[in-house]
Amino acid sequence: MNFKNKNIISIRDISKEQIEYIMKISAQVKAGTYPDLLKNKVLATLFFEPSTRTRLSFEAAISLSGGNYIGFADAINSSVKKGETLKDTIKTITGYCHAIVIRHPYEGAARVAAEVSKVPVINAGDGSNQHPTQTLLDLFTINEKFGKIDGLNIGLFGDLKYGRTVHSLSMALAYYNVNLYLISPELLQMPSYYKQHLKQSGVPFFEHETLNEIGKKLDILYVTRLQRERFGDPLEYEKMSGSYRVTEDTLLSLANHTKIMHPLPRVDEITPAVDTYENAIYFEQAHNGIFVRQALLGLVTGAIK
Amino acid sequence: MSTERAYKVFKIENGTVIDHIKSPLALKIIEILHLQNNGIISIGMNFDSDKTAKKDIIKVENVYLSKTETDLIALFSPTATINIIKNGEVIEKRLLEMPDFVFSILKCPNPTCITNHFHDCDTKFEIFKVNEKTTNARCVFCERETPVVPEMIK
Ligand SMILES: [Zn+2]
Repeated sequence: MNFKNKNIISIRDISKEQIEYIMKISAQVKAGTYPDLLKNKVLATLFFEPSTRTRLSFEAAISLSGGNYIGFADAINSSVKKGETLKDTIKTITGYCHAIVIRHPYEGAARVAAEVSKVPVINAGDGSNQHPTQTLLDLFTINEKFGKIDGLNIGLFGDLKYGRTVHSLSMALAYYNVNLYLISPELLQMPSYYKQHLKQSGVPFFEHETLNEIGKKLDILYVTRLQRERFGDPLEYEKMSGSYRVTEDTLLSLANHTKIMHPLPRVDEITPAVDTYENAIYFEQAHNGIFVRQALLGLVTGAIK
Repeated sequence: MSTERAYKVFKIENGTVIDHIKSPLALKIIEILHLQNNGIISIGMNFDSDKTAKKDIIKVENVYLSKTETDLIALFSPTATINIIKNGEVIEKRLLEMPDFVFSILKCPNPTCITNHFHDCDTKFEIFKVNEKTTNARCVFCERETPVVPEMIK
C-alpha cells in the first residue's frame, strides 16, 4: 500500500484497508521494528493555535524516531500576525521540511495547506472539523486491547453533539461490524448527519440517556466531557454533569471487562480514583498516539514502504 | 400575460434563452453567469407558468452559453430550460444537469470555515441532490453540508 506523499486530512478520505494498514504498521513501530525511522528527516509542526498535548505527542514521536522538527506552538509571534496568508506560510515552509503537521483554529485549514504544499500534510486538528490521528490512535488502542474491532459493543458517552472526537470515531467505526450505544443527555445527542451515516453503513446504534440498562453489555466506554457553555441554564449543567461523571460507583454498572477510554485532557468527568483500575486505559491510549504518529510520519515521508 | 406573448415581446435572432427560472432569481442568475457586461440582455420576471408558480425569463443576445455555465442554474432552479437560437431558429434545446462540483460562486455559510478568512482561499463545494426540492452542498474544506439556497451566492 503506497502512502508516500499522502495527505492525512480527514477520516473521510481514508479507506478501511488504509486504516488496517496504519494499525499494522503502528503495531510494528510499537514492537521496535523501525528504530530511527525519521533519521535525517525534518518535520514541521505548525500550531496556529496552542494544543500542548497534541504538539508534544507529535514532537516526541519525531524525536523518538531520530528526526528533527521546526515550527511554532502558537501564532502569536509568527508571520501570521503580520498578515501573511496560510497559503503563503505553507508555500514557504514546504521548502524546509519533509512533512507538515498543522493545527489551526479554522475548519478546512489542513486541506488548504495540502493544496499548496509540496510535502505531505497531516491534520492535527482544524477547528471543530477533523483530528484524524486521534481517531486512528483510538482504533489502534481498541484493536490492540481486543485483537479485533468487529463484534464489539462500544458506548460513546457524554457530549455527542459537539464532540469532534466522537463524530470522527463514529465515522471510522462505521467501517466495522460493531454495535454503537450513544449515551448522552437529550440536548447533546449525536447530530442526525452522523446517525444517517451509521444507518447507511448498516451499523446498529442505540440511543440512551443513562448507562443503567446497557452498561453491562459494553466492551468499551468512550467518555467525553460535557462543557458548561453548552448549557443555557447552569443548574441544568450541574444536574447533568453529575450523571455523566465516571466514578468508582459507575464501574459497578459496567461489565468486569469494560475498558474506559477518553481522548484527554480530562477535567472532572472521570474521577482520579478510577485511574488505578486495570480497565482505565486512557493514559495508555494517549501513549499509543506516539506509535501511530510515528507510523504515519514514516509512511507519508516514504521511510516505511 | 401568457407565455406566448412573452416570447413575442423579447424575440431574439441569435443567442441564449433561459426560460422557466424560478422567480425572482433572474437577476441572481445574471450575476452568477457574469452576464451583466455581456451585450444586450432582456429580462422578464413574474410570468405565470405551469411549471413553477411564477417564472422569469432571460434572453442574452449574441452569446451562446456553454453547458458548464448553464448547468450552474440547476443549483437554484433545476426546472429552468435552455434554448440556443441561431438565425431565429432554436438549434439546441438543452436540459440542465446538476454539476458534481461548484467552484467560487458559493460562499460557505460556516463563519469559521477557512474560505471565509483568506482572500486566496476560494470555495469548492461537492453537490448532492437530496430530492426533487432540495440540493445539498458540502464544503470541501470545512466538510459542512447544507441545503443550497440563493443566499449562498457570493
Ligand atoms: Zn466551509
